[in-house]
Amino acid sequence: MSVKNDVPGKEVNVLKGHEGGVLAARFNTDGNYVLSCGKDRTIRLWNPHRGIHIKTYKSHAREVRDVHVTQDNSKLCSCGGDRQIFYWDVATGRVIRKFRGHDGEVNGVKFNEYSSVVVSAGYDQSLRAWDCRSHSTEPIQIIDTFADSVMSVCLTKTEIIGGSVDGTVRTFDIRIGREISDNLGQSVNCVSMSNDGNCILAGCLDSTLRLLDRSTGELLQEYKGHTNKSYKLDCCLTNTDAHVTGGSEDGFIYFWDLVDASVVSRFRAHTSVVTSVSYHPKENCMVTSSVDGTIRVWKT
Amino acid sequence: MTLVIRERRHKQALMLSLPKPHSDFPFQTHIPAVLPSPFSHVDSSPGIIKDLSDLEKLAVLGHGNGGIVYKVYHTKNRSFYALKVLRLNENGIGILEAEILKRVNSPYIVRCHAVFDNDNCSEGDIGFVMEYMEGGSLHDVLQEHHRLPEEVISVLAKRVLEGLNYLHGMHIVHRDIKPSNLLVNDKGEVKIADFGVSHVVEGKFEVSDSNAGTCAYMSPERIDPDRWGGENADEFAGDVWATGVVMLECFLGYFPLIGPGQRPDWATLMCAICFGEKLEMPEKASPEFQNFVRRCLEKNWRKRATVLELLHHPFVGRNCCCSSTGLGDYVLRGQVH
Repeated sequence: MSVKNDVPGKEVNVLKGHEGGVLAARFNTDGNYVLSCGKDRTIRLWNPHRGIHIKTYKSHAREVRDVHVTQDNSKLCSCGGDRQIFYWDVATGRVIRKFRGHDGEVNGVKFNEYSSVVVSAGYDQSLRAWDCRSHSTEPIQIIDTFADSVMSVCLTKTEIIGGSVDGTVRTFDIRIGREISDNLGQSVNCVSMSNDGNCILAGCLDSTLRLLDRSTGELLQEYKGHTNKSYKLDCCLTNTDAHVTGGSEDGFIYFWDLVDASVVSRFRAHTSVVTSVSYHPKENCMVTSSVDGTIRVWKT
Repeated sequence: MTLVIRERRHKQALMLSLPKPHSDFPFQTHIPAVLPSPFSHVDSSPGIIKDLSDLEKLAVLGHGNGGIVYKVYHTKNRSFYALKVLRLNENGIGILEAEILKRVNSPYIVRCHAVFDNDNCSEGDIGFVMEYMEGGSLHDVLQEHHRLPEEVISVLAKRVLEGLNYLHGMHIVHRDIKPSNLLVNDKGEVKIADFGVSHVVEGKFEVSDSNAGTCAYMSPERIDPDRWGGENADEFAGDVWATGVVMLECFLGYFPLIGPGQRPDWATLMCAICFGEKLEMPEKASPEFQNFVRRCLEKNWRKRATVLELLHHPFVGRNCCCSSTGLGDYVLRGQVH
């Protein structure tokens, strides 16, 4: 069954170019561009609304697992199987810096609000923070209290939040130096912030998304129906925070009502695992990426 | 007079003479003249002390591209100049600029009267004593007046193209033609300035940094070489494209390639310049102007007009007698400095 709300469901563009599975596709801050990365070791810049492939970035020696762009669209950071974080100039396509230090694959990467720091999440059970402007090659912060691989990271002005295979979502207040740990009991492979900043959405490997209240750690809701047992998948909230969305290993996309967790929309988006979902900051528009090698753009 | 010739610590910098008062002789650039600093009582720049002591700084005209430009007064010549001070960097950009300015002598290019290095600073600054352009830049003119009529643009285009023709004849590609690099004197004559990212074409296989210069005025083959055959491109074609953008901007009153609300970041420019639809010509423009712009903004550099073709274009030729000073009326009212 498929009940349409105001959530996207109409495919408006297919972005083809990656030679292999696409592991992530992300809108930039204002929603005009998409950055993607994948098993072909490349990062690609797109105008998703017109279907334009603008530029390709090649330097990674292994698959690229995550990518993020600064607010002014001038710099990129990326990470992957080569254990490094690359810091790029968008216009020239040059690698400005490489941050090395993780003892294993790097699963996630994010700029802070001022694009001065990159935070990375690693297979080596650590989060590391790197100063983009310093000439030092050492991280400015290492957080290694996780008991297993850290799969995902998100940031506020003063906090770093990581999700781990050890079943925890941990929040580190870097001003106070305090750690808060919430144990979900299931491996976490994605953490995403609600737009109002009050909630964390965690994607878990028991095919469940969990919504946590950030101030109390209370479990507010669970979302089920999709399949997520073996792959790192994304989840996020729509820009109005009215719906939760995520991909499934069978190629489907799900939309749930935030409050009552009912499935309001469900459709086959790809022929294979949906690796990432990214919602437009202002419009009813979403991009999804897949192991099938494509990125698709969806609107209402 | 006695010429004092002494060795310099920074041999890469060039020495050119300041113009002598009432002198009709051509400058002998191969024999440098050192100004007598012990007799000066004027405060000098901290970075340039000995060589430029007779230049009195009056105002800061601008900042940019790693340099500062001052309005200066030469007490002996009783003349104003613009002093551009650059920090020499590891890539020798200032040195290349000095080399280019040494070669250039044209009424369509801002004149360089002297180049000085600085013996007192270990890192090294380089100072260019430039012709003072009383009217500021075309950017200043557009800020004040927003738009220019076609007859003025025609004269402007002719002067820029004559300057490019001269430069290209000397194998110099400017690579940063834009309103703020087109300066205007008190007669309203426009001249090309700023060779900070310019480049001397020596041979077919020379590697150049095609990313130098302002993104907004870059031609498709420079901004995306892979897609537009940039590897083998005739580099002079990039200056033609930039000229076309400037002329259209003068007509419209705003940068023409992206929408009014769009942020001019690189990716937006990339989409507009390389992937944009066919550029709409302003309806009110004359057919000659429309065709002129279209010939400049041909995306395929092989089909783009050459400088010589444009100098003979009907749009450029039509006002050669009537308004020879071009921006005269605009500059006098909009005088910036």
